[in-house]
Amino acid sequence: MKIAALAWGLVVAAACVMLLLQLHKGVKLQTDMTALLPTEERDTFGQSAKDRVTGILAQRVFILIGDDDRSNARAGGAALAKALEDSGMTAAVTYRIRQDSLKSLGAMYFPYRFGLLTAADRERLQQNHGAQIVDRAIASVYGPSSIADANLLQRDPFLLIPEFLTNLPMPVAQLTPDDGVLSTRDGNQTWVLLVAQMNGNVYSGAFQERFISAFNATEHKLRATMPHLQVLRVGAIFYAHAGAKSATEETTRLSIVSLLGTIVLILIVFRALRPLWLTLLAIAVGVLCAFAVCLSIFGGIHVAALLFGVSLIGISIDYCLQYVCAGFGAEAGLPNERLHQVLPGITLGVATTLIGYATLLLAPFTGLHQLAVFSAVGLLGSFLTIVLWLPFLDRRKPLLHGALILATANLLWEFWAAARYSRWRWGLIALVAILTIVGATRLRFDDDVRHQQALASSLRNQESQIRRLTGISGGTEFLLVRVPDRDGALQTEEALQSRLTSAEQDGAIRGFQSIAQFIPSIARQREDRGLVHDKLMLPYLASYYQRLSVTGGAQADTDTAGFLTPDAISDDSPLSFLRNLILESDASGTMHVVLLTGISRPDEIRRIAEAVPGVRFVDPAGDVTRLLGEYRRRATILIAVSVILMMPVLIWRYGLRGSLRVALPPAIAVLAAAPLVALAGVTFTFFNAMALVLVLSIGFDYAVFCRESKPSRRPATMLGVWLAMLTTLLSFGLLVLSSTYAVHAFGATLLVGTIMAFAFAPIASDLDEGF
Amino acid sequence: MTRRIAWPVVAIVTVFPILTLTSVCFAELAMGPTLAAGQTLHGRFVEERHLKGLSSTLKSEGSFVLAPGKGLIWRMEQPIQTLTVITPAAIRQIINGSEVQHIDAARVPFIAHFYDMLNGSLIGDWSAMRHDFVVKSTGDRQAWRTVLTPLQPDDPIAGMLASIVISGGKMVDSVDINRTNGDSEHMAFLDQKVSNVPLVGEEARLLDSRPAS
Repeated sequence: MKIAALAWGLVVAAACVMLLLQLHKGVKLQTDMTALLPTEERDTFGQSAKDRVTGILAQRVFILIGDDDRSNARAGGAALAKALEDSGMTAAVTYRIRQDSLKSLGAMYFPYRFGLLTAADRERLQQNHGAQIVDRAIASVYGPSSIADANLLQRDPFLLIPEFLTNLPMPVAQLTPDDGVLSTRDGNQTWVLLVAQMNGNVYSGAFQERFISAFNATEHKLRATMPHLQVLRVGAIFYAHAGAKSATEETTRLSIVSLLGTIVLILIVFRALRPLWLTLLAIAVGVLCAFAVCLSIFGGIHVAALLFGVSLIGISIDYCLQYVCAGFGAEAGLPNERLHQVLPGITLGVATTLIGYATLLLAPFTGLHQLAVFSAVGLLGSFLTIVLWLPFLDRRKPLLHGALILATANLLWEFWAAARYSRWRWGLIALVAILTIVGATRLRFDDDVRHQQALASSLRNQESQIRRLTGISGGTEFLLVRVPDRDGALQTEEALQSRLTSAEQDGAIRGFQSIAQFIPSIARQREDRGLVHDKLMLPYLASYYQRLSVTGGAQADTDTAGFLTPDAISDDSPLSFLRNLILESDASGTMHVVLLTGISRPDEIRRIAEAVPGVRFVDPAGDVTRLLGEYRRRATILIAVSVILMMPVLIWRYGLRGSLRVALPPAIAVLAAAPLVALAGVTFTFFNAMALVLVLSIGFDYAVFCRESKPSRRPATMLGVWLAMLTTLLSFGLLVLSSTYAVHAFGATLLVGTIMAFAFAPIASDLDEGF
Repeated sequence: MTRRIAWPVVAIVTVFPILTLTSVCFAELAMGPTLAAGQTLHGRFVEERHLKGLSSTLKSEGSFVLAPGKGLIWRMEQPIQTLTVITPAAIRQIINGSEVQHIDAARVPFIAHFYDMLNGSLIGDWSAMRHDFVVKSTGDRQAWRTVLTPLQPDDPIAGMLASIVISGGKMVDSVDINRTNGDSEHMAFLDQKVSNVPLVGEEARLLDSRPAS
């Protein structure tokens, strides 16, 4: 034993050195959710484009400042703009817009006017309804809505450019420039808009803290003099900060409760803290080994695998508690003898759990592979630590104080074994069965990642208010257009445009934004020029001029300037936001982005993208949702597979009938947990499935402990099971209180599943009553 | 050269029609009889437009209907038949039954703003108008003359107007609009009648701003 303990010490030391070396070199924790996708589904090219676009979108904040008093709103807007500019944390702050920005827009378009047609006008000309355009021009010239002077009539006889300009889908069309500031009025309130682009990583805690505190300080200062000033904000940084803040607070609160609860529990039962240290040591060695092995196999580890992996290794606390509880009673014997009493139980427990974890390797998902290796190695490490080290570290004499505690712990056994509880037993079984069946009818799957996160509701309200007032919305979905040449990209966007417009009318999306909506492709400009020349100028111009008595001839030849291209958009143009939509434009190819907002039917958009060559639908949230759905399905199947794989071990030990008995409590726990939490309205997500993986292992552990326990040591075994259950509830069950839905669902499932596994554990034994 | 042309084009197209038509409505209502809810004003107009650089005067005539809270129908009969309809939701132009222009208020918020001015004037509230114009009146109720000049001549939109001159007696008789580019127009109003009968038929349908189902 000693040699084995020393050898294990060497292995752990080696793992330690390996890990230190790795850490010294720098370990990159993967955080990108799509890194969990099967390799063949990943698209590095699309990924980098996605990262860039989401980066640009995430770094943008929109702020609306409102007050009943217009001058207050403006003063507030100006002060906030200045504070943001001076903060050094912004790349650009847009508050005052150029008075002549519209003028510059007109100047950009005017030379190319004969190639710029609205969709409706193009259709009119294609269908030989040019007369409608002529009549519209005559009505405009005569009517009260006159927009023409002689000069314009010579240059743009049919007033095509005004028509084109009014139909441009300007993004903040609901706002109007009021003395150089984009503003809108809502009831008595005047709102002014401020847009800022951050220059740092909005997901970095330090950057968030600096930015938000500077922002809040300014807002606070403004409120001191203008108490009715309202500041609405939308941007990833606000959500990320609020999320991180509430998560930190929540984690701290829950950890303190969990830690204190565990300490109190151990103190009450053992009147010493040593069992706690022993347990922590076993878990720590497990995590250490797992980390070292994972890093050397995978070269890194995904943060999600790490978090779940640590939870899964945490189950080794069950084995540790079996060992320390064996110390109760005068007949407990020396540490080595205690170990031998519990060894069959914990070995079988570990074996089944290892099979359960290793089953995760069967899915073609990197994330589950990492998780399987991490948790299996960690569990084995913890197990070896318990078996090889604990007897040497635990020099205590048998504990003699626990008669009452042991008797209480044994009550569960009696509940299942004693004849007087027979009715209660059937009552419990019937109750669980009925509730499970009712719950099963209410079970709903939900993989939508947007439901798994808790977005601060006050920020969400502000976002919807901003959307109502300005039309701005912070979508993260887009289409990626990737073709060899620049004009091809615009032509592809034009092909998308009609489809997206009808999707918009059907309500599949709320809106979209593409460069081609503002700058038509050269091919289209050429085609439009032809239409204007052949179907408008040639047939109608002469008589039209005669009618209006325009003299001095037309300067209306349709082949003047070259073509308008996205290069014409200057830095200070009101269209400069379009430049963000050009990701790449060089010899290697052109990549454009078409932003989408308010997608309600992603499948329809996916179909549109598939119908147009060179287009891909990128939906970061949707990708994660699909991923979660896939992981949920796989994890659920793997639970069933792992039960089948565990059975040979159990059959070898207990025979067929015995093994079925052992499988009964975990099966009840796994089958009942999800329907029971569904009764409380908890939907079934990937996180519930992960909780079930844990519940299954826990259930087998409890069942095996009960089955292996000699009648004389039964109270100590039951105490170990009690403590295992209580510590599990204290560490994971408490997560049910989390405001993050994913964590809440995980905690709720684990809470109910663990209680079920615990409550039914004794039926794994051959009970006297024939249960 | 291009810049000089381009700017008015952009601004005018979105704003000017509304501004002009609103000033007409305003004139009718603020100076003439104030309409109650449910009442409508019917009348005829003759408009003469002088565009700098055009040798002849552009003359048009037709009828109009103004309904508080609903909008304005401007029906040109000569030289061509067109309908221009302003509601809080949109400006539409209809020729031969087909809509050749549709400017949504949601896209061009000036519409809502000027519609506020129109509605304000209907209930005798001048504040919306005074936000943009200096209002000066002379004469008495039998014969008066009001001159509107832009409050902010530098404003890229209101600054395109040099002045709006409205004159009348019991009703508004004429409106003269002078623009800074030298163009001008004269509108005369005839046969004006206030009616208590709600709009029916096509007129009611045109001013129904609810989206078509």
